[in-house]
Amino acid sequence: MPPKSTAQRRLFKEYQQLSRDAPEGIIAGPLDEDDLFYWECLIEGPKDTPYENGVFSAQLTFPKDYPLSPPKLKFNPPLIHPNIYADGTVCISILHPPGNDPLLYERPEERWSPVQSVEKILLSVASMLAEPNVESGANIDVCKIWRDDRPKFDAMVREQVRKSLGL
Amino acid sequence: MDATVGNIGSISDPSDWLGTKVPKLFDLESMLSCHICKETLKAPVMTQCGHCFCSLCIRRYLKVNQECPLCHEVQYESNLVKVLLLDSIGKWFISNRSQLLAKLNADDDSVIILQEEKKRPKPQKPVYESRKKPKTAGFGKSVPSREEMVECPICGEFMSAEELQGDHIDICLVGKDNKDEKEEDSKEDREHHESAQKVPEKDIVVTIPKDQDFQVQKAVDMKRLAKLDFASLSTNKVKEKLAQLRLPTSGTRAQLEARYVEYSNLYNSNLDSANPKDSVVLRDKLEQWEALSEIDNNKSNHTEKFNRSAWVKTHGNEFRELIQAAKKTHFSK
Repeated sequence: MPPKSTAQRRLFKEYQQLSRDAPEGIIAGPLDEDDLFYWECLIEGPKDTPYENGVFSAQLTFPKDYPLSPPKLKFNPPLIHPNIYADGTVCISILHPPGNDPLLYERPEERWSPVQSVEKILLSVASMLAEPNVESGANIDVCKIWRDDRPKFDAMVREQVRKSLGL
Repeated sequence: MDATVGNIGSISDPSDWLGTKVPKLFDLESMLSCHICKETLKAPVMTQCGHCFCSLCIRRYLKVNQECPLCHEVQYESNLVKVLLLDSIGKWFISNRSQLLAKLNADDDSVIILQEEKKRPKPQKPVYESRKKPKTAGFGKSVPSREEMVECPICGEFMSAEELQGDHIDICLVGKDNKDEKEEDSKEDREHHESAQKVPEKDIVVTIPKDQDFQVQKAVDMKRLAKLDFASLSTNKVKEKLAQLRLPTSGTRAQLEARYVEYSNLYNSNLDSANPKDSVVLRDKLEQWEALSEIDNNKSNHTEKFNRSAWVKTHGNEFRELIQAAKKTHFSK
């Protein structure tokens, strides 16, 4: 299956790089080589956080004009986190296309541009797990618990981690 | 998963050098790679902020977002400048890469001599182009006569069509609502006395005889294709433009526009190459691009995620009937 379009060739390159030299705690690659636009990822919960010991699976869906537009990342099953919507979709600045931020929450250099990569996205997600940003939360209920009752939040996440490991 | 890794290994990557005698070549290849497509720079151009990308890659991106992908400085397509030396370096690298890699992987310590294919190519002289920023004001000197000038639809100033289609229109359009602006009708068959440094994008200044159609076509081929303001063009007008470029005029309005935009990307980036290809090759490339995007469209229709709510909407009545039927049989028992 020779990759043909610019998007396919670029995704192939990124897959190659990740399979040769992936950052610690991250595994990612296309589910099916015939469809490079759909990836499965596994992200390890960062140490010293309630997510520690968890391994979370997420799907990356790339647009046809990648890398001009960013992919979408969705945790499945959804993860309890202030910056993850209830359906599992991740909301962080690196996944936002440049030029539609009317509230100017994010600096342009934090947002998507073609020089970013899957690796950088997944690293950002790992650091997002360690440090939630409740200023621009996605799941308001979780944001509230995180802010008002941290022990409860930690317990909820640990419970989810245990469940995900089948314990 | 293992089989796929083997397949992937067939695509070159800077990390190929890490296992060789000169692992530092990793850095060199990384530097010679375009930040957008991650492949060796092809027909590289430099932005005003000094960053280099493949001409095609950055042109495609600037159509989406007018800023440098690296430093986020505002950039216009018309200010891109080709870098011929870098183009030659990239080409040299691509053609000698596999040999170099094989030699550096080999265990013997023999002196590395890269085989020349034919005779020694003439060393390419770097072309020094004027970096002078074109000024929108102050084009009073050496301008074409009044009738050869066109009026900028935004600011109303008169200037040559080349200057207008260069970066004047980009600058004028910023921050303006372009709904009621008219793309001026550029007359291709006009003599232009434009000086080269005024419009850095245009590299070849030609004088076009008015009466000879063939020569007109040839000379037009050397000029950059202008950005079209589709909002002000009728579908027939767009088709006319495509026909002028000998491109197919079939398809929906959106397809026509996408075709023009992609062709202008291919066309303008081709002019940034040290040895530009004929427009026949470009039309072939456009055809491939269109075939690919069609395949992609068809594919996405097949593999599209099952849309639950839409399904429920269209089949809701049937579900309700089934439930009622089930209830009936349940209660009749």
